[in-house]
Amino acid sequence: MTVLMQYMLKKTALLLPVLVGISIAAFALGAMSPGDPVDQVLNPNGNESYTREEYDRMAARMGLDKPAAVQYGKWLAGMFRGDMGRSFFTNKSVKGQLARRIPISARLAALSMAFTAVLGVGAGVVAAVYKDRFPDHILGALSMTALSVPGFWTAILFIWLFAEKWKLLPTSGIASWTGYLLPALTLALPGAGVCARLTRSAILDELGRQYVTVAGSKGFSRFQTVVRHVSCNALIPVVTYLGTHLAGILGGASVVETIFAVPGIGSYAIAAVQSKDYYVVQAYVLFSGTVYVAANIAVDLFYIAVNPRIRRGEAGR
Amino acid sequence: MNADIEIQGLNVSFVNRCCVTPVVTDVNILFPEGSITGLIGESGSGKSVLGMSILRLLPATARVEGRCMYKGRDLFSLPEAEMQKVLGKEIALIPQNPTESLNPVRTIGRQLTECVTIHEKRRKADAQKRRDQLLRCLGFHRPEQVSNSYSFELSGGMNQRIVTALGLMNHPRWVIADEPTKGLDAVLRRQVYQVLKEIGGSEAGGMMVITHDILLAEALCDRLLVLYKGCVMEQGKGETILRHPAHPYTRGLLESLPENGMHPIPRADEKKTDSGCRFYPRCPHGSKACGQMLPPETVLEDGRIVRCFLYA
Ligand SMILES: Nc1ncnc2c1ncn2[C@@H]1O[C@H](COP(=O)(O)OP(=O)(O)OP(=O)(O)O)[C@@H](O)[C@H]1O
Ligand SMILES: [Mg+2]
Repeated sequence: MTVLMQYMLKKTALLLPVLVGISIAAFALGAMSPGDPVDQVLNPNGNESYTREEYDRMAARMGLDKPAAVQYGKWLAGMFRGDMGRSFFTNKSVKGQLARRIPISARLAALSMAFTAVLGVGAGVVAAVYKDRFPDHILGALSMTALSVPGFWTAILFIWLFAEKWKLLPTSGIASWTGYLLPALTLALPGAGVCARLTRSAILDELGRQYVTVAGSKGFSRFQTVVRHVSCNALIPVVTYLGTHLAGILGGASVVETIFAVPGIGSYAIAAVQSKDYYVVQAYVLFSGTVYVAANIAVDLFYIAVNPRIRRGEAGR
Repeated sequence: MNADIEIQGLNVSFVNRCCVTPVVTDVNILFPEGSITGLIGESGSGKSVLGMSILRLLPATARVEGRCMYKGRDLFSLPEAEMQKVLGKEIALIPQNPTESLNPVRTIGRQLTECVTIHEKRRKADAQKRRDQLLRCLGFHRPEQVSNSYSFELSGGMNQRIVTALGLMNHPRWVIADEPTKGLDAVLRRQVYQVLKEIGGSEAGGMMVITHDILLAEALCDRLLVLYKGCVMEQGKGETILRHPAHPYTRGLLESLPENGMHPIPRADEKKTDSGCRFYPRCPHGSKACGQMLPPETVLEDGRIVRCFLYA
């Protein structure tokens, strides 16, 4: 386990500079992008006028009159105190909003992840078992479609089919749990397509190995061989992929959340970007960045756990 | 019940998009219960394919014809579930290429014990005892330590002995050992030989030993089988074959050994085809008939079976 400990320490030590880097990038991006939040606050509809004095007063209140470095420093200091600032427009605390929205996005991500894993691994296993036969061809075409069709198009198709035509599921909102189904499925499909192809090729690779034949010589059935011998080896690339995929969707699925009006962090961030609500954008970037890095560490840990080559100290070398 | 293995009219070929390649042709052999038969012949002569065809473990591209009778049943037409009961328990394999034969993410110990537990779940303790006993016999002084390792942590020679243990774990009636002493030094070779000999003697197991090591074959085997390009050229008592080889190929093979002066078999004569006797292009005694048809199997007075027109 010492290898694991060393690895954890190394990775966590790296995490801090990465986060600082992410936050600086987020801050710079906000400062450089066109548009002016002060103007947005004073003149949200574009038809009101204000004096220079009013502008300066508002800028000072929002803390935007100081140089960028000072603004960043203040913001960072706030972060360390656990204060993420307030929205320029609603004046609601960013922290409170995130606390309310993260569970919603997390639920969506978890459900979508379940769809991805079940559909992807399931289709991949079936395709591998029926290699070059009818089910394999069908699933190959389906997974190719799933991974190449863009999410907004699938979303529109689903809304039309399930909500308007068959009236089975709500079009938007999360009034009940069924509201999560369509967005989760939309979000899951591309990943499921990739996962199916990955699973299929990983299993076929492994089935060609000699230890599979030897397992057969011990009296293992095909199925037992796949479960006991092949799965561990074949799942390594699949789980690695699923982990990074989860990291991606945990950070908020902006497009899908917006289309289906899911009040998660993705739609929150999109709205904030449009109105140049700096503190919200920064908090969001920091959060999704952290999640992404953490999920990648988790994937690496999994990789070490299932791969004795690394676990037994080769990683240390 | 009598546990002979009898192969009748076995033909194996590999099929791919363009062509059909025959690799084993018209093989008829009786492996009497409890006997040790050595399969010798140069690399690529089809020894492993012959062994694997008995176990029905050839890749899907292989086409197998013929019968393999065991305990009154034809193994080639047995339902899959029945065959699984035979594999590992009645007939087990000591595979070639030990390192590739072991699963890299499963401990050695589990890969050994599962040979028994896949057939009978409850015999886990027995299996562990058997494992430790076999590992000790095969020259591992600390079986627990080896059991906890993975194949990549062991040397090639160690893995070779692990796969030997693998084949013997479940006290099979028959063992097909594919080059069990490959890559071992003299001391270890002797140790493995001892184990195989003991198993052959005490546990009444029959064995097929595929080997390039003629000395091992001579010491271990009752009977020998000489293969050349998928045909059994000569089969019979080991002693007789090695002292007085009948088939020109066997003679050539023995004379090419270092201890016999290392006289190589002449190169193939490119004008001659091997569509009749496989050895015809290289044979010093070839006659016209040899190029036209496969010689029939002839039984000599001493019980040997030879596939050559010199004796037909
Ligand atoms: N999967 C396969 N596909 C096509 N041809 C094959 C396959 N496996 C074996 N062969 C062919 O069958 C022939 C016999 O191979 P086999 O492995 O039985 O040789 P061998 O006598 O065991 O040789 P060695 O002593 O080197 O192990 C070879 O010519 C080989 O090319
Ligand atoms: Mg071989």
